[in-house]
Amino acid sequence: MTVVPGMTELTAPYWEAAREGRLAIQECRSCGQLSHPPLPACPRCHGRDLGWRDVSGTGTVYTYTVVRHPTHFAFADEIPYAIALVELAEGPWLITGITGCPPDGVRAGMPVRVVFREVTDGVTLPYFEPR
Amino acid sequence: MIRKAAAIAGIGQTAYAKALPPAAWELAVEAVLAACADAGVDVADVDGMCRFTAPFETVSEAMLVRALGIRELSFFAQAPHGGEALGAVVAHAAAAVSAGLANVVVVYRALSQSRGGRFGRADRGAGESATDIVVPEQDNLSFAWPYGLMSPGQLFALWARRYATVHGLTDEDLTRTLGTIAITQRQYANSNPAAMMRDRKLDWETYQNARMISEPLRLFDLCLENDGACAFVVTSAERARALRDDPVYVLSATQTLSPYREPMGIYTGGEMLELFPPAAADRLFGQAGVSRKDIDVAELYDATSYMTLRSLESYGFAADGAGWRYVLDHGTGPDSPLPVNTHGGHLSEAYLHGMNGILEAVRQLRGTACNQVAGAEVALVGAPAGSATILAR
Repeated sequence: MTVVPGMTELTAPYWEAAREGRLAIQECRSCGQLSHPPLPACPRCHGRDLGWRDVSGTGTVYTYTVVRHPTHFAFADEIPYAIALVELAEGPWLITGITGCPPDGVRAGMPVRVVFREVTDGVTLPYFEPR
Repeated sequence: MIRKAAAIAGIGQTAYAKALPPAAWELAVEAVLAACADAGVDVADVDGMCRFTAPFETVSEAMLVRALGIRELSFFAQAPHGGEALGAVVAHAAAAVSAGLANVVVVYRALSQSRGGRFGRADRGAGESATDIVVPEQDNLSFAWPYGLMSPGQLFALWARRYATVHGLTDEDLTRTLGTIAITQRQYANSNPAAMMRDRKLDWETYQNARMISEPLRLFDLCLENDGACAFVVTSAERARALRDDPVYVLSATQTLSPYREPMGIYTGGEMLELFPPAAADRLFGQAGVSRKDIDVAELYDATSYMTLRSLESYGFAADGAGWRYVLDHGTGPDSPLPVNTHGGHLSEAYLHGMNGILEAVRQLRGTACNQVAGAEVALVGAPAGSATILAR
């Protein structure tokens, strides 16, 4: 069993990009504002011409937790696992998981880069690993 | 202005326990009847109700009107965002009374977690299934759940880690701070007959050696999960004085919402530790016409011990980043400058979504609390993201 994101018209491009190995963030074509998760209008200029921009996929760990007790049986076999809030080089924040190092090795401020993990046929989640 | 326009004239509660035989509906009925009896009002005369939105509150006002034989409600309102409905339901009830929309407003909260979901029961869940769980996109949850960020405790762990990072706490500093809060609240609960943890002592060794749930939060940093119900009756100050000689006045009650500050929101974009604009706390005190120094006792919504810590700062009892030293230096116990969660809080009395904190504040202001703060005249009840009320005798 896997927990996968439901998609809406607004969020599907994010997950479709991930499936293609790209990290794409919603961008306002009028003022350049990046929004994640995506919004129906630009909160800065109220522009409605919104697109998607491939970003560098690098960032730093803003904060994290190591989960040692599962709150859902879908994650019982993953314990312990690290959840992080990553601040992308371009600014937006993402909730993600940290891979590529032991959960105990995760630190606030740690430089990370995106990696893509295919969790089911058709669903790929951006994770991050130390860089 | 709602200052002193309305008052709490009655409080009622059920027993609190891991699992109670009655369902939430019946628990709500029991708590509402108890609150009306305490206020000295006939439940048939109730003409207003305020509650938390579904899915938090599963008992609708329609169910209660039916079950209690209430003639007619002329006002009913729901407040969203879980525990952040705490100040809102008081604000709505007081505003309705002062605007003449209703005369006797019942506020209630009923939980039957033993029949529904609990956050801490993954290993005893519904069993394996081959079917994937598709998280519907709502409030950005579809971006969090697939990574196993599914419970408030995990989210608060992210905040607690950020707090330690920003303010330079070592793991030991954080443990000592959160442990002081958890152990102090347990001590309050040990002398509260209604508390689920009344007979369970908690010492440092037990606290520190308890299993990590989501680092840096340990088992005893997290709230209880239980069944139970609370209710209280809000009416005009004048009517409350006629009903009893110790009404508890609503001095102020606030709601606050700003971008990315919805409770359980995480993409704050600014500093994630700031859960609501400081102006909202100033508004709470300004409308009440009191200062921080006037608060004799505080009941701070504690889904985790970290929230008690951060709320001390958010509401201005300690400067940002100074709360942990305040806790280590002064504590939150009966002899501290500001006794906090004197019923034991969600950590040790029971989890009632902050409503048991309102009931405790009323008891403190009536002078009938188990852990009575001598001469308590003004109390603050607040949730982490700025929904709060200031009450006075």
